[in-house]
This record gives sequence, C-alpha cells and structure tokens, in this order.
Amino acid sequence: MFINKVIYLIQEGFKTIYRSLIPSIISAITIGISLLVLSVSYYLYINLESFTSDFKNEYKIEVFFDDDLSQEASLNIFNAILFIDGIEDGVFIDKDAAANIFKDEFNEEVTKIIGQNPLPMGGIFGISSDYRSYDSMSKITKEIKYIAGVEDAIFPQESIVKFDRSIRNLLSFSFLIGLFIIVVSYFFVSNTILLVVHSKKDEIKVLKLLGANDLFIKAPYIINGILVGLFGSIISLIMLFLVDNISLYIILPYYEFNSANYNFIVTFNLFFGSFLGLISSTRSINKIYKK
Amino acid sequence: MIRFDNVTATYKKNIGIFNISFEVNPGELVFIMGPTGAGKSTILKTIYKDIHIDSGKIFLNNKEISNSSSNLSISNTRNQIGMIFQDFKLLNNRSVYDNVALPLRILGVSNKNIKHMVRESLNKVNMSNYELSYPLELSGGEQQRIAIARALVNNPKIILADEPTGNLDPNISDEILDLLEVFTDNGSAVLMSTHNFPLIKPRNKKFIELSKGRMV
Ligand SMILES: Nc1ncnc2c1ncn2[C@@H]1O[C@H](COP(=O)(O)OP(=O)(O)O)[C@@H](O)[C@H]1O
Ligand SMILES: [Mg+2]
Repeated sequence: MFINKVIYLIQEGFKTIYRSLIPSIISAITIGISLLVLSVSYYLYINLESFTSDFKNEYKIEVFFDDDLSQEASLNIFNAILFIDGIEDGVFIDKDAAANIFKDEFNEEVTKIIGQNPLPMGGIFGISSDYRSYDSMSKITKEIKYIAGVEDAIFPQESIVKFDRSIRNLLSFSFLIGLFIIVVSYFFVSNTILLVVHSKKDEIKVLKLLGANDLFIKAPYIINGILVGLFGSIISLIMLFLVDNISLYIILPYYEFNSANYNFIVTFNLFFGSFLGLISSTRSINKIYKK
Repeated sequence: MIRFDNVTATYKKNIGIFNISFEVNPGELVFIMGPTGAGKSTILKTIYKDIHIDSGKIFLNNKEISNSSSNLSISNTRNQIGMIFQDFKLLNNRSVYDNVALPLRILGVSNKNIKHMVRESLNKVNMSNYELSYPLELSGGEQQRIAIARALVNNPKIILADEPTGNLDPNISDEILDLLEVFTDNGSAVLMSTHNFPLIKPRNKKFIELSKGRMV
C-alpha cells in the first residue's frame, strides 16, 4: 500500500520535469551556475595556500646573534630555533655569509671599509604555511628574541600585514559572493518552481477533491525540486570538468594549482544542489498550498 | 446511506442551506432540484466536507461525518465517495487511464490491481478504447463518462453528482442519467443535483426540491 504510493509519487516527481520542461531547465541551469561559482571559489580558496608559497620570501624571520658569540654557540642557538613550532627551515649565516649579504646590498666590502668583519652571525628562517600570518610571525619572533644570545629578530612586518589583509579581504569577498549567489538562486529557483506550481493550482484542487492528503499532493513537486537540483549539480560538475581542463592549458604554464579534492567537490555539488532544489520547491509548494 | 438531520450551513447571514433533512438509501437515486443559487451544490459540499455546517448532523453509512473537520477526516470521507461535476474536473495533461486511476493512486493500490479496476470501470461507461486518449481530445459527453469512470473505479457506496449534465446536450444527458441509474443496481446511493426538471421528470424518482436554501 504505502510502497505503491511512494513509487507512484517518485514517478510523478520525474514526470513533473517533462510536464514543465522549460522552468525545470531554467532552474537546473541556475542551480548549476551557482554551484559552479561556489566550487570555483572553493577551488581558489584551497589554492590560496599555494599562492602564499609564491610569496615565500616574504615569510622569513631574520635573526642576529650577539656579535661576541662563538661559531659553536651560534650554531646551538640556530638549531634551537629550528625546533620552534612554525619554523620550517633555516639557513645559518656565519661571518663570511653576512659579509657577502652586506656586499650584495651595499656593493661595498665591509672588511675594506672597517678593516675587519664586525657583522654578527645569525640565521634566516622560513615559516611553515600554517604560520604565515602577521600574528603568528610576531609571536615566533618574540619567542626567538627571548633566547639568550639573540641580539635581534625581525620580519618584513609591513608587507606581511598588507598581504594578510588582502588575503582576508579576498576570503570574505568570495564568502559574501557565495552567500549572495546562494540566496539569489534560492529565490530565483523557488520563484520559477512557483510558476510551475501555480499553473497546477486546478490540478491540486482536483486532487484534494478526490481525497488526496497534503503529502500526496506536495511530494511530486518536492521530489521534482530535488531532481532539478541534482541535474543542476551535474551541469555544474560538467562545467567544472571543462574549466579544469581549459585551465590546464591557460593557467598551468604560469601557475601551479593544487589539485582540488575531487571527492569533496562532487559530493558537495550533488548534496548542495539537491538541498537547494529541496528548499526552493518546498517554499513554492507551501506558498501556493496555503491559499 | 446518506442522511441529513436538520442541517444548516451558511456562507453569510441568510445565504446557504437551512434545516435540510432527507435520506438516500442504498440502491436509490435521488435528485436535488432547484434553480441556480438554490443551494444544490452547497448540500453536496457539506457531504464531501468542502464547507462546515453550522448545525444538524450528516451521516454516511450510519456514521456521523459532521463531527470532525480534521484533514484526515476530510480525505477519509472523500475516499469513500465518488464525485462527478458539471465541468468534469479531469486533469487535461494526463491520459484517460491516468485520470481514472487517480483515486486508486491516492489509496496506494498496486499497479496490477489498478490496471484491472481501471479497465473494468472504463468498460462500464463504454469507453474502453480511450485509455490512451487525453481529455481534450474527447467530446463533453465522453469526458463526463471518463469522470464517471473515475468516480466509480473505487466501487464507492456513495456517488455525488453536481449537475453532471449541465454542459451536455439533452440526448447525451439522458445517456449519462441511464449510466447513473445502472450504478444504483449494485447498491450504491446516488445523489444528483440538477436545475433541469424536464430531464428528470420522466424518471419518476424521489427528489428534493430546493428554493433559496430551503426544502419546499
Ligand atoms: N463560496 C461562497 N461564498 C459565498 N456565497 C456562496 C458561495 N458559494 C455559494 N454561495 C451562495 O450560496 C447560495 C447557494 O449556492 P449554490 O449551492 O452554489 O447554488 P446552486 O448549486 O443551487 O446553484 C447562492 O446564493 C450562492 O451565491
Ligand atoms: Mg451548483
């Protein structure tokens, strides 16, 4: 009894698609485009990390040791710093290396000017990706400064702050865009389905007269909404597949993308697409049904 | 089978039906007669629970139906009634077969039984060859036969017909009446409204005459 009804209602959900083909296609495409934009935003988001690795040079802490420290003591401190959380790697700067850096920067040999090499030993440390923010780097820098034998530790604060801020802006921007797109497509799709349900007002009345209950009348439209959402997500996945292949040719030569987690993207699209279809169609049918 | 016990139902003050009492027994065809606006449809609406009644009692199969207005009792009541309307109320985007099957779908009958019952019902109204047609491809009389097949498919004990011949030519109307009369043979109670007295006069059946919502 019950199972016959369920099978029938699911069939009706499918039939509603071709009984109202144009609105169904429009809704599916709308959902498809929203999901595409969301997926691309996600794609960009997870690539921000590799994006920051391009600016790896910025994420360095320069450390200067006390200038009367022996090479051995300096190396000990250097190694201790390497153990600090957030330090990815480091280069030890002995007196000669420091002189070379001086020469690169000022085009003068420090020994010729002063007669001897007064430059302290030190190190340049890279920061692991999770710690590439102004706050984390300040904290690490402070920690390093407390170590006995460390004279000073610095990092390029200004550019990090700027970079931090632009990443944060980019993230909140894409988040807002994503939110905006979800809301717009929710209303767009539910209004499109509203037209479908509205044109079926007489049909709904007849079904009621024949003794159909609420669920029997609503279910086909809700199932139809879920199906439309699923078709939308398939549209999105096909377009993503194309975008992915195209970007291989256009972007890859210049920029190495993290490959996205395909399982996640596929699951997200299917789930969110059908969810969007579900809530949109539920809104429409409830709106008509109340009258 | 159908019993009205002093029923009053109003839309507004002095508009509606007042103090209506009558009975339709199993196997009986009863007409509700009266001019347009007399309250014929209103009487039928109180039976299929499209409107509330203000006072009195309505019984179907000896069970009072007027004491509950829940959604469940509405659909339960409608499931035991076959209904026929002046404007047929068929779904034009579905085949004859699907239209006749609808009451069975609502009850959750299996596909196999549906096939059997729909064929039997279409047979009774002489429309067996039209299973795959669509309502708008048929004449008015044929559409009303389909609507009757839909009302009968579930073998209801009670059939309500609201001016079923209102849109039909006189000779077709007579055929429809013949059909309805046949269905009383297996014990169903049929209650039909009409404003066409010449149509029912030769049939010599019990009728309720209405004027301005009151029995005369
Ligand atoms: N939904 C309604 N709201 C208000 N008045 C109504 C409504 N339906 C019918 N009426 C009024 O109730 C009276 C009886 O109507 P109805 O039962 O449809 O008459 P009949 O079917 O005999 O032509 C009429 O005066 C009509 O105008
Ligand atoms: Mg009427």
